[in-house]
Amino acid sequence: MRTALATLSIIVLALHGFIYYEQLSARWQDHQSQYFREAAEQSDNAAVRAALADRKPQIEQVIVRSFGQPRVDRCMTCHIAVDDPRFVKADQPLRTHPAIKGHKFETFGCTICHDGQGRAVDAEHAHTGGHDWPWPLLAPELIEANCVQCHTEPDWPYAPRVAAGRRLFFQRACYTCHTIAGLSYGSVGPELTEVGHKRRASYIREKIENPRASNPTSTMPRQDLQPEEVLALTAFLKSQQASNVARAPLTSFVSAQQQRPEWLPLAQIVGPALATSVEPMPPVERGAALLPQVGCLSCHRLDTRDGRVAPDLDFTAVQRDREWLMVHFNDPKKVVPGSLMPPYPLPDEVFDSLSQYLLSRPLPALPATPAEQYALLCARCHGDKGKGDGLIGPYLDPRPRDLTKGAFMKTKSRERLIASLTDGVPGTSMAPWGKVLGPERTAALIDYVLGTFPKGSAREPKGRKVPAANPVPYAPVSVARGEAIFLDRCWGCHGKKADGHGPNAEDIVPRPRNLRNTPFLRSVTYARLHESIKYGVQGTAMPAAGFDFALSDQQIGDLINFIYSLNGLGAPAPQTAQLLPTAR
Amino acid sequence: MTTMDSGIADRTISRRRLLSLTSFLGLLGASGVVVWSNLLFFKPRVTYGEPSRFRIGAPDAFPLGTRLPLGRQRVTIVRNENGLAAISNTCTHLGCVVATNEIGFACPCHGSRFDPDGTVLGGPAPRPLPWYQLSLSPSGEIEVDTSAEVAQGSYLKV
Repeated sequence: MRTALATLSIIVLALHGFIYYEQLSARWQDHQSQYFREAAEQSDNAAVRAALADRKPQIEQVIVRSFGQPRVDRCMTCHIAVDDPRFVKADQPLRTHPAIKGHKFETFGCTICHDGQGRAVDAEHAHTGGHDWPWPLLAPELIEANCVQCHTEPDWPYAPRVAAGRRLFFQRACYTCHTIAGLSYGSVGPELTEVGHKRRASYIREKIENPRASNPTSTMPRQDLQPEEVLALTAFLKSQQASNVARAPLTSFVSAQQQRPEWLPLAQIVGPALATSVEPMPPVERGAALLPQVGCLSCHRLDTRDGRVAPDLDFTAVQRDREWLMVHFNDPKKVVPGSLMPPYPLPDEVFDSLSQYLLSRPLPALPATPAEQYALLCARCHGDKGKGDGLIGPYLDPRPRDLTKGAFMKTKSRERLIASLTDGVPGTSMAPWGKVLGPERTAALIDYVLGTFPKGSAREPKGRKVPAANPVPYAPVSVARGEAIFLDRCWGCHGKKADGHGPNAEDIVPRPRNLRNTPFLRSVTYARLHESIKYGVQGTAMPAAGFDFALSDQQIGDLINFIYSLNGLGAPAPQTAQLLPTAR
Repeated sequence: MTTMDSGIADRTISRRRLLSLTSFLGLLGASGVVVWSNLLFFKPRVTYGEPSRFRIGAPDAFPLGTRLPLGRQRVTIVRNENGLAAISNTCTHLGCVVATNEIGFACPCHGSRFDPDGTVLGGPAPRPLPWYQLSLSPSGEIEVDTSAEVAQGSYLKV
């Protein structure tokens, strides 16, 4: 017992001694002692040597009060030789800092340029700031982001990377989705006014390189960027700190959306030089000059440039007309409700130039065989193997049809497939390819698709009885009955908002139809809707509601009246396909 | 075991007593360390005040005859034929900032007067203005250390 007590007391003593020693001896003391020693050796002045001999290591700090919130920088506790010109070649932490004219350490401190946690006196916490510190030491190539906090002149020449990032922010169409107060007013993505203040540079960079890295449900398209471009965008975004020391603090709290203008001046987007040079050009040439600069090709393909996110613009000339393009420019969701494309904050004159340029372009030559035509025109969305997983497939809503699903493909008439290819499918990204191909090649392409891709068997649809028009007249009572049925039977997949995002929808491919897609519903006949609901859709998750849920034709009529009411279609149900909604 | 036992027996100290002594010393030492380390908290290594040591520039910036009061750091830099000195600007009476004038220093609060070296000439001030240590930093600048007082008349020769 006594032995144990004696041993324990010695252990306690040793432990206390160790903790005491560890807490009171720090690396910075060694660094300072080393510096005093080396500086004394290198000095030829007796007074300096005497002063150095007297000095004991102590925490050195600069308190910076001139720039916003007071900063306490203790970096010189280890980096004690920053202003000693003789240590240019020494190893860190005892290396001389290059002199920057007009920036004295006593006035500016360190973290105002370098970031990091100024109060810490051990390397790890000072440099990384520890977990969740938003401003770890900035990489040397990104330091410009902090220079421009004070040097706010727009053409300040010493921050080329931030300037390049700013150009990319517009060229790569970031401005159409994201708001940076005073620069852009997009409302699709998160506001970036303070992103440099809230996020680490590494996070920003990761988000640019792969938007889904930390957020798997992000709809931000992955941009095809060179490493230098990623760096420039990171520097630019890191410089967006809102807590800009040159700005009055209160103005940064005014929501950017409150000041949102209808469109941005062209000079802000493409730079003043280009904006003035395109002024006198005729519309077609102006469109040609502006198209690569305002961000279209950061998603779309045109000739050799490909953003790998959105449809091909090479065939727009014959697929679309000017009216369609103008509506689409002003609000893409009016024609394709699930479109990823943000409304562009540009004046109508620019839209007009862009439309005229796109419509004036000659059509590229078409290859001879259907297989080559499929590869050129269809594979971008539907994929090489027809599985609906093409290059841009994931960005489209609704997703491109999986052409390998025999159950779906074989139960649709050849005429219907040809019609879909010829006229496109309104409300989706399927374009009217018939205008590019002509009737014979369209039919040949459908035959090629039907002969190549569909796999698996389908039940022959037999003895279907579908009314050509709604047996129930459109009336509020009918809509209310339809709503009750919808909330009983349909919302699990189609969602309570009928937007196709029900709780069961996540696992279902193809995704349940968005029943608020007005252009699509306008284009579909009553009979087709009725048939899909009553008998289900083979090759999809849509059940045969007429049998599984025992809905009568009357009830299905109520349901369709409800769906029409969501889209403002009302009765009588449209019988012919219409391409365009009314212009805005 | 046997050699150890005989060793203890030779020095006529019992095993029981040795263990008691060791326990006592160990615990005493540990509590001493605890008390000492807690007392250290009363004197922090660094506070958020103005740094006590700061550089004021190269000696050439202060030509002969300079009497330059530095407002923020509360010292007056003096240069005469003896060398450089830093004299406190804080009145030893109640801590007002003294003004420099042709006599030396004058406190605006209660009328204390000091000569150019900081010696009290009149008024309520109990002590002369302190002088601070000056040294030459390795980068060739003058460094003032307000945490170290020196005797009146000790100049830094440059």
